[in-house]
Amino acid sequence: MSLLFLVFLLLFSLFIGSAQEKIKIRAVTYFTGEDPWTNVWQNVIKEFMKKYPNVEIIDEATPTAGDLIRTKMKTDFASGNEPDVAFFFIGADAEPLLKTGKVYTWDEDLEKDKDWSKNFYKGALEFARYKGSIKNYDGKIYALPTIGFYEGLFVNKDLFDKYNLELPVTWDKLLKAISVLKAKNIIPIAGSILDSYYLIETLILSAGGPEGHNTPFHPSWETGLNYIKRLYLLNAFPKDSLTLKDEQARELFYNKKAGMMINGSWCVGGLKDKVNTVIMPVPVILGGKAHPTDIIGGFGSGWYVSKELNEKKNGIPVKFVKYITSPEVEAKFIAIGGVPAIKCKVENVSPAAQSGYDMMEKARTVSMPIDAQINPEAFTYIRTNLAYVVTGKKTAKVLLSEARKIHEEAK
Amino acid sequence: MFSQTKKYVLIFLIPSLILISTFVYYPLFSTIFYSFYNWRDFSNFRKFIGLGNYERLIKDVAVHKAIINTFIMLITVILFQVGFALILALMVHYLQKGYKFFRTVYFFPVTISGTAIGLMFYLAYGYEYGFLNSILTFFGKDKIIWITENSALFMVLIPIIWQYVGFYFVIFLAALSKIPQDFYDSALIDGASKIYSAVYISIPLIWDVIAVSLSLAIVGTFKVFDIVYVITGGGPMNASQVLGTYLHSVAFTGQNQGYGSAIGTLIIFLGLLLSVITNKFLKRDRITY
Amino acid sequence: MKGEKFSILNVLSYLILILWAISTISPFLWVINNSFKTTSEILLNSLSFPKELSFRNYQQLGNYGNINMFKGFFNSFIISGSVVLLVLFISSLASFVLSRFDFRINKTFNSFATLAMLVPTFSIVIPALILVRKLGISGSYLSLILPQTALNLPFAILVLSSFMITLPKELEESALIDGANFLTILFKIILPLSIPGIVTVAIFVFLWSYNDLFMSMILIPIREKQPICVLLSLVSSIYGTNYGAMMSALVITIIPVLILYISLQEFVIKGLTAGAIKG
Repeated sequence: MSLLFLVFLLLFSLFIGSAQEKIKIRAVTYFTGEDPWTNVWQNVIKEFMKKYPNVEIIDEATPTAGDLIRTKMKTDFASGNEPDVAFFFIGADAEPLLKTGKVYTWDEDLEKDKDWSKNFYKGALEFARYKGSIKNYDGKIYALPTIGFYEGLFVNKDLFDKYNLELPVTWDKLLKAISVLKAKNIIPIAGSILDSYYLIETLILSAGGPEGHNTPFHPSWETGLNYIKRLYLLNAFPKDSLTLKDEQARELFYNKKAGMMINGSWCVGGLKDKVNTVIMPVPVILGGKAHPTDIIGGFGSGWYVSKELNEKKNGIPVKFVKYITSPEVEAKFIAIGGVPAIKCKVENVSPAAQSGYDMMEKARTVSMPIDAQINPEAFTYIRTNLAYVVTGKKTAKVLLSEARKIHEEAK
Repeated sequence: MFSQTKKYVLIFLIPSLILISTFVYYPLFSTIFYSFYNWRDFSNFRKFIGLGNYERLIKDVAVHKAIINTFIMLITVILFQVGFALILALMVHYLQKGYKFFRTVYFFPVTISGTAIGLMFYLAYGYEYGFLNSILTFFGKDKIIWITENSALFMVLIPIIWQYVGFYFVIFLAALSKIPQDFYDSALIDGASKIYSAVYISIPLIWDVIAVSLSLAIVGTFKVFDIVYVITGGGPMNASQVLGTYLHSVAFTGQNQGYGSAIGTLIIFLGLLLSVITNKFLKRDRITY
Repeated sequence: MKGEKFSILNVLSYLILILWAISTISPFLWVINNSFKTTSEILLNSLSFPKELSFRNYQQLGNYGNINMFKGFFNSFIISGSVVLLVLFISSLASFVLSRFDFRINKTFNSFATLAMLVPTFSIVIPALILVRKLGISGSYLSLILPQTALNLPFAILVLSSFMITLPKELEESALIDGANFLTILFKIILPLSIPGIVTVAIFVFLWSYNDLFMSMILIPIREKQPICVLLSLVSSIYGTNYGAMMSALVITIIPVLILYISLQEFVIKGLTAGAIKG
């Protein structure tokens, strides 16, 4: 008897799904959980659904941690489960998506709908213009950037003041700060060797300048990695940096258990103290080729739409993205953090966010990070094996030559 | 009548045949097939490269480490999981008191998902905010880095072993309860001590069951994934890497499905090999009673 | 077996037994206790009792980020429920044949099933993902239900058929003479007698499916349809250091299975031991 009941329940639950006739839009982003933009994103969805009651946005936000979103996007596209709308990385990560031929291109809309497109900063759009071997997409814009980013050195200035430390604008001053903070039982740099994306990128930039950084496997890459090892040997990182996840490392900085961290603009929203935090370029290492204002940054993610699904759903996915890329919505996102891709008015910029904008403005060059340039498997290899380098079990040279092999095989 | 019976036999077997062939055997052979290709990003293009993936497999330090770890796991699981379960079962069997209580309680962790258990231990092991360290600080002791290159495997083994002790315990307990009382009575007349009777009477009499449990434990070791994935993800420096987690990181984080398939093929090959060996090794004359 | 009551051996045995029991109970009590506390309370002292009984952490579970644990729960119920029903139905057909007739095909089928039991999910997941796309079921509940059913069938068939073999044949022979057909025999005679075996299979298949992270994570990428174990694996990345929320997420994942187990444990243990002892 109870078995029958179970069968009935199952059938019933399958029906609930088909009873409503709303148009469902699946949207993949990384605005979830502790991500600073989560609230804005969820409100934006709600407002859109209020405006268009026949549309239901299914929020499939997946964290960037542990490359979860990368896996999701690629398997979704490959298995024919592509979402209608996605906010996802551009650059090397776009390649496999574009290969499926399922990605919508924006050029026509940008051309036709001037009222909407005039607000984009031209430079921002260029980040998502495809230049590569896939013919259908050559020269086309395949995603719309909205939130730009930068990577830099975050400093808890109150701690520095407390111990009479100067801001680490040079490598020597950074070393000084590390030794003083260590003596005071404060973690100098909240960095994770496990999730070492930003350490790798900023220190390679510091060693090689934009030219070295932007040339895959330039000799300066080795120097950069060796400097991470130096910092590690100085005990500049948390004791468990080999296993610490980036989210937890950030938490150390937010809670003033660490004096500095090397991270990106996505952290600004999460800062608990937005007044005493200063954001500045990572200082140039001794003999490094970078200019002191060179930084990593740009527009690393953009809004993708699935071509077929957009047609099937009467253009609602495109409509939704246009809504998100309106100056009003953009302002809400930027108020939390990030660099705008669309002209908009943001009020009450916090001192921390302001210092980030200043850094961006003064920058001589802004380079897209390495993981947007080399094959993801090769970058993952460098990142997940960096622990071998810092603990002296493998040289940076060997690691990079192994990664290079993977990079070349993948072509 | 006979031919009609045969028709039914076929009809009754067909659903199972179709499902198992489609979702077990077909993918299994596809995995072996894909392992000879350079195939990435789940794209629709792949290139035959012969043994290329296997060449990489042989040289891959992470694979070596994963195989070594799997074997260490195998030995510790046999010794501590099955072995400890046997000792616990013998104790409860001889004491008799609290039989039902222990049986219920020891089985708790078996019913819980590896993900949940992994998360629980992950929360315990953290350095800055972990619970083990919060207890240490509470007592005025220094914090400890619980997961290091040397300890990682051990730290993931604790929950893995802990979870399934209850499973084998329940099996052993039931097997022991089926041994007729006369065997012990005659032993007691001989003046055998409890330990003696356990080693020379109980264990030989349930040897069949022990053998089955051992092969279950061995097969189980090749399926370890959730706990390691949640606690360490295989790190640091592959210290706690197992084949399942490495396959996941290659095929899904690194997006290299060709190489991932080669690892999948290795897993099934090792699993089959070990099953054959254990079956040969553990076959012993049945003792009937 | 009744010997001296206070030997050192006895005391030592009890000590070990009780310590182990503590190790299996306390983590759950610890999680439940902490699920009612705020994160800062937990960090301060995770062993203390909550200052006040608050369901704040549980309220977040309905919508924290985009993770709805309750929805995950519902999905788990649909997926694992369907897997259990499908496995039971299909395996009882096959087991009936295997236990009641002695054809040559039976032996072949048996080795076919036994071999399939040895295949780990890791070795099939990549093609399985491609396969569900080809079948046009990717993204639906079916994309997980069918592979999980197939993977559980061998186990179910082996257990059920070895159970059915022990049933006396006289019953159905008289039924056959009365002109009953196979389906009637199976559903009216064999299955009712096999209930203990069926329940055992149902419980184990349910546990396995409910707890299967690897396949679920890969085969159901759509958040709306993901079962609870997948959501739980995202928890540590998503909740950051919100330990209170994590604890309550753990509790609602663990409690239903514990209740299921405690209420059905006699069956679990009977089935488990019957299966293993027969080998």
